Amino acid sequence: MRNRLSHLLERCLGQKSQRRELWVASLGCLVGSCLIITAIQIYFETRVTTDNARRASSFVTLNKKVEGGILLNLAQQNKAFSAEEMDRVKQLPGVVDIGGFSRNQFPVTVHIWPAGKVGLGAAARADLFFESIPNRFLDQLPDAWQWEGNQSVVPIMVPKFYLDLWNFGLAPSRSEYPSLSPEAASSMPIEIFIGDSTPTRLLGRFVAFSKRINSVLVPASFLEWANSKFGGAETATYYFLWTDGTIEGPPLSLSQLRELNEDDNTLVSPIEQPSEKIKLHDALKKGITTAGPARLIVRLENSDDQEFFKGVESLGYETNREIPQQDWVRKGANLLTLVLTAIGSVLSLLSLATFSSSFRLLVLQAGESIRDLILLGFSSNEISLFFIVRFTAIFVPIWAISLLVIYMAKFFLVNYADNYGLSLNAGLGWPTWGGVFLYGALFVWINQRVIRRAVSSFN
Amino acid sequence: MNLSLQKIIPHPLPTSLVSSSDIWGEEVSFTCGTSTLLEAQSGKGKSTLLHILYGMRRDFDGFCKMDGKDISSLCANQWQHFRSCKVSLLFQDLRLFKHLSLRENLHLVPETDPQVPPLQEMCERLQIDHLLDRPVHTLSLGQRQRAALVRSLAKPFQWLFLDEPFSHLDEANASEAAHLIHESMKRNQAGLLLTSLQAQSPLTCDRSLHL
Repeated sequence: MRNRLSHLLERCLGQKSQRRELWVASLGCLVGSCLIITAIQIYFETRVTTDNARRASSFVTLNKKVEGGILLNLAQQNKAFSAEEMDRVKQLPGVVDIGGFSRNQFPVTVHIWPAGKVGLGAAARADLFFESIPNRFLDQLPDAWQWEGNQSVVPIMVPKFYLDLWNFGLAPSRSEYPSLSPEAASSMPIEIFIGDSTPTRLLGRFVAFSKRINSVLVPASFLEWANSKFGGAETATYYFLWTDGTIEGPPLSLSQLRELNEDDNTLVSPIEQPSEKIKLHDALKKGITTAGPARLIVRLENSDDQEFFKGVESLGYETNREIPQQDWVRKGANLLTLVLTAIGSVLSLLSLATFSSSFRLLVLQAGESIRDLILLGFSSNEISLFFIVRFTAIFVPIWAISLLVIYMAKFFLVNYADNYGLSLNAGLGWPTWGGVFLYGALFVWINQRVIRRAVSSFN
Repeated sequence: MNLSLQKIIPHPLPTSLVSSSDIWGEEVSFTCGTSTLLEAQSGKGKSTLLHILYGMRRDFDGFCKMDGKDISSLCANQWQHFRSCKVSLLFQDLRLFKHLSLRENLHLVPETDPQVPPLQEMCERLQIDHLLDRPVHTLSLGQRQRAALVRSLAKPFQWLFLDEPFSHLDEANASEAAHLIHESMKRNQAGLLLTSLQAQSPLTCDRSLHL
């Protein structure tokens, strides 16, 4: 009975339609919806990306500036941070945590075998260094990231951009080196030679590629073991030798001074303070001073904390920071979002106005029938429902199509970005879904209000 | 449900007409279950009175009450309720949907009285059953008037307002229409207000008032 009545109402009211106006409104709505959904998606996508980047770059590394001539630097001027200096850094505004980079105290040479087997094909050889930091500062902790005494393979973590440099810099210019995926690079055997004259050979493997730490990292347990076994700490502590009131020759290490067999009254002065002469006997007795870390990693509460960077500047240290680039990306994305939102909003408002006007006109054109139906005892709600259903039947498919268009565009964009090594989240994020449903609900709500008001005017 | 008019004067009505009328400016009551013939020449406000009682016109002085309630205070929902199941009006201009068939027009009512005879039967009695599937715009005025009468009788009502229901009917059809109206009145125990140009009508009413 109700179905027949609905059908009759449809026959009664659905005579005249604004086909051309509805087509224009539909097209405007489609384009406007697409732009608004894109704007919402870009806004939240860049927020997530830059927030991640922000988190990554809220870790800052610090080191002392390298200054002075070659001679002084050749003598390995002490760039280590003392406990007091570390305390001063820790008290800077915005610092949440601080850790030191430990480094190797022995020469290291590595042979990397890209063909996957030692001795097969050409090896990439390089003099290298190892560092370690506390695990809490790492951006990834693979299962293989542990080393126990006498373990045969040393896990190594290098920056992701080392792999990019290999793939896009080294490999294309050298036919013997293949391009490597992270998985392939992880399976390459690495020969590690420790020491100068008769080096000890160990085997290593890349276990992760860090996007946070710009260093060649090994587990702290390995570095501690290797330093104690192969490290010549005395070779890292240098003094000037004084003869007849003047400094004689370049600075010498403690081990070199010990071998000189000078008498105990010979004077030496530490390289940091050449004027402060002490007896060689005292210097040898003092022995090596345990060097602090040469680089610090600092976790900041807010990566934009200018107070922290001013403090670092005043202490005379250097930072390694990538924030300005992220800020630029965020600003660019915000501008794009703003432009898309503005255009999308204007188009959506226009389509909303066109839709509302078209349906208002439809209602007015059916005015005589509406008035007669109301006089017969039909409610204005019942009559409005006919127009609302008709509007929804046009709007919902348009809305769904625009959602599908954006979803497909995102799908292709993810694949396209993947080819360039950029990883984007697949699909649309929940804020986008929320925004899309809110937009749809608002569009329907406004139009149904316009329709109800127009129909009620015949009461 | 009783109706009462208290000094009702529609706005464009000349003062000369008010003094000679049994309705305008007077206090008149209509009891449910009784029938009243409202007789007057053209332009004396017969349709206006029915339109006021049906809530179509609000440009009048005085008070019009249904069961003691001032109709000026009724909201849209209350009027919708009245029109769908308390009051039925046969419009003088019929107000049929011309692009729909006769059958569709007869079915296009918000509520139907379950006790009412089948539409087919009423149409047979008024000799329009063979026209049920024809679009209304192809029918004559007399045929449309009979169709509109069937539609107004198909709805549930306590009051039936008929605005010159026999004006385009021949004697035989007018007589049959009068019988149908009378049966509906009895079945619903409803009141009737019937307007006519003449003092005589095919349907005998309990009383007659002059506008």
